[in-house]
Amino acid sequence: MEVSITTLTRRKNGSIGRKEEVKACETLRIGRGAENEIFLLDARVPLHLAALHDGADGLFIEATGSNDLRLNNSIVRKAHVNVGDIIGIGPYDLCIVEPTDGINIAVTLELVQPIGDDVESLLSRSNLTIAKVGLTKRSSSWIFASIVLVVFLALPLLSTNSLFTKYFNDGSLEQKSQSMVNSNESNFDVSWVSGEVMNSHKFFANDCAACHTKPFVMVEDAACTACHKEQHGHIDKIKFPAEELTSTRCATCHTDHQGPHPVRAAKQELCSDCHNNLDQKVEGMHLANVSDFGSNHPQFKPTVWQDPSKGIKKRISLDDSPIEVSNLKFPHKTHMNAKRMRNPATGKNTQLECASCHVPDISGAYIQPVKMEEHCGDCHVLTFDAIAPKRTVSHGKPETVYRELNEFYSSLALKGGVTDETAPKVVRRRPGTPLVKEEKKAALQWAMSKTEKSSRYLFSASQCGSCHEVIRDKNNASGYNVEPVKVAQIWQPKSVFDHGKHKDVSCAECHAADTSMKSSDVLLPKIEGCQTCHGGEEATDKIPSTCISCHGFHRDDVAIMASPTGKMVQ
Amino acid sequence: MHDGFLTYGKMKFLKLAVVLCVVTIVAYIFYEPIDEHNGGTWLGYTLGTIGALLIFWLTWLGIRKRRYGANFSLSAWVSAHVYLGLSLIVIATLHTGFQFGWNVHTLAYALMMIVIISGGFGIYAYSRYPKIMSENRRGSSLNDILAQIGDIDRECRQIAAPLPDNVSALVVQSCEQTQLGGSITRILSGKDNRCGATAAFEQLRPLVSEVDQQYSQATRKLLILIGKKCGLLTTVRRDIQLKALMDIWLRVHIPMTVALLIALLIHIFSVFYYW
Repeated sequence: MEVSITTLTRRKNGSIGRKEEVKACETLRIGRGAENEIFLLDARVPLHLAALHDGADGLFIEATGSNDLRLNNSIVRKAHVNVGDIIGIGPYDLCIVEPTDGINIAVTLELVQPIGDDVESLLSRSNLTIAKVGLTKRSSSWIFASIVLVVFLALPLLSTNSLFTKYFNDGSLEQKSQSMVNSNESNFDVSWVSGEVMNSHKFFANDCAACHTKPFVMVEDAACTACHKEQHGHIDKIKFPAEELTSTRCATCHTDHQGPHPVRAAKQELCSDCHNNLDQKVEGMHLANVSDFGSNHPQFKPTVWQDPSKGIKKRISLDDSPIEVSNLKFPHKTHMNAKRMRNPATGKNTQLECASCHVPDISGAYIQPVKMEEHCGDCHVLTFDAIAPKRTVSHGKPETVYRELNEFYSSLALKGGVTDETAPKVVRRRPGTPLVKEEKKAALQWAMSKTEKSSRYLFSASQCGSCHEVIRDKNNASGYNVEPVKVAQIWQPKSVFDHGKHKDVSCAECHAADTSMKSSDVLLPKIEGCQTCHGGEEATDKIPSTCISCHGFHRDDVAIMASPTGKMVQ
Repeated sequence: MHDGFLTYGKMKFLKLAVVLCVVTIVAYIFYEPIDEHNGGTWLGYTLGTIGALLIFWLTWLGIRKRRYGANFSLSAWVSAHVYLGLSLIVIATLHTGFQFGWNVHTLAYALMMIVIISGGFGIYAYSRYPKIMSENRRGSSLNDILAQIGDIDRECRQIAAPLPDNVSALVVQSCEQTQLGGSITRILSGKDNRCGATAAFEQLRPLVSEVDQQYSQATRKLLILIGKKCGLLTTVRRDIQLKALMDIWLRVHIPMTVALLIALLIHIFSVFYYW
């Protein structure tokens, strides 16, 4: 008989490979042995399994070895088989199919449990590449880009108070400068903040639109002056209208988002850009050129009194040996000499210190004015008569002194009991004795003559005149007058000198008081004195000091910055 | 070697990048801003412009160099991409003036650094890992090693058939509870703490002396086979680890580049919006 054996191979893509072989034989034997018509070289198949016969009553199969057969999943030793039946041979399935012409028996053979499962199943459990863990370049690009776009663009733009939100509300992309801020609540646009704002701006640091009033426009001065209403400018914009001088923005010097310190811009070039050649920039400029404290700074020009009675002061360079006309006679040298300083009350000699008279104010930066009563009065006692050795007059105007003297003597004369033997009897009488009109007149005459005498004494060169310029003045009740005393309280009003910061330097290092015999001496050190310690901004062997170490930019004598005219304040 | 681009054209792009960095550093040292160094000084704006243009151009190069067959030298493009990309570390850092914060500006900088570092890792991986991989596999292919593992499993099953249940259970464990790779961390670590074969090996070792005399030789043979399998598994895991490392940098590099471009555009927009 003719037998067709078709071997089926299932490929991975699901298609089936067929390999047909036709054999002529009496019976179709199946087993691992080579003599079988169907021999399967697999350890799982017995040597002799079964034989398929084509009998008169159809096909039948019988087991030829000790192993039973699997026919359509039931166990048999011998059975009739028909087209469509499946016989299990170890890991193989043998299927009876419809034979074609000239063929007696047709079967298909398929390996359904292949060897090598272990590797297959190992790989099925495994994942060998990260391509399969759901991390594709395209999807993660979309995810990250979307997150960035939403969190850092959409949310900040749409947050409350942003200029963009305002546009949706009233159609304007501009915020009015306002002195009070909307809110300081943190919003999504916090992610746009480029750095820490200065401390004084922190209370509205989250309200970006408070300063950034127009999109794509640098912060304008109006945004600053909306709050800083009282800040003065630097120059008279009317007098100096040059673009170069007026175009500088507040934020040019006051850069923000750079940290907590208030004034960030200390660079001297900010000043020296203009001030190093002012004479070329402005015709008839009275200010000297300056660019560096160490190398290019004019000599100090203290403002000193020239005529106190007319209120005239003048700036005079220390190089021109200025003399201050203060109308005060005060030799520092004498007062620094202990031998000459004997306290009349105690009789003891005292060594005066600078601080005995010159006391710092509460800030420590400036020195309080010297007061006669506090600082001079212990020694310069304003007594006037031996009959009342503790009685003094006020350190006041001449007419006041004269009136006090007159009141004192009048009172004494009318009361009586004066022990001075040269005095008339009426004032030496027993105190309390009533006076008749004539006696009163005599007593007051004595009082007047004593007043005149004491007045002459007090206004003499040895008393008031030892410190003051005393002149005869018929218009004054006392017959005298004292020229007004004016001592410069701040010699250099355009700069700031902090005595407190220099307290470890002895006074004498800067102020040559111990050799000064006249109060007209301007006891101020020249710039060279400061330059022994202070240098310009770039100094490496001295204290680097920039313009704003001593000078302020905003000048109280210039109009406020918000003012459109910029006129000088009168 | 995959690093021919590093020496392309006598390193002319390296020289260009070095010149760019030196000029930038010198300018940074000698330029004195009114305030602190920051992105808003004229030097800051200049460096920012150069940096942004470089980033846009390098991104375009990254796309351009993948279009094979066009009329250009791949090595030249990669060389420019690598060296000019590295020069951004200097240019962008000096642009920041070392001012960093929790904001979109530093985000753009951080993304740029991630892109550069991942790209740098890519160069390292492509120049080094292919050699390590072939050394690791000792000339075999991955399929060879997998086939060896399969053979060991089959042999183990055969040996284990007559052995006591506790021994054969370990063989089943070794065969059926072993996996390669898996999660991304397991792939990248090249290790598997829950490896069935390793666990079976550890449990089998004491059994060698505990089983009946008649089974001890077969058990010892199993131990040797599973031990060998563990060695092979280590080799395979190292192989897929290296392969993954050569692959993963680009999965960081590209998405981070896209995120960087967005963040950079927002950075530029926001600083001028609130000028």
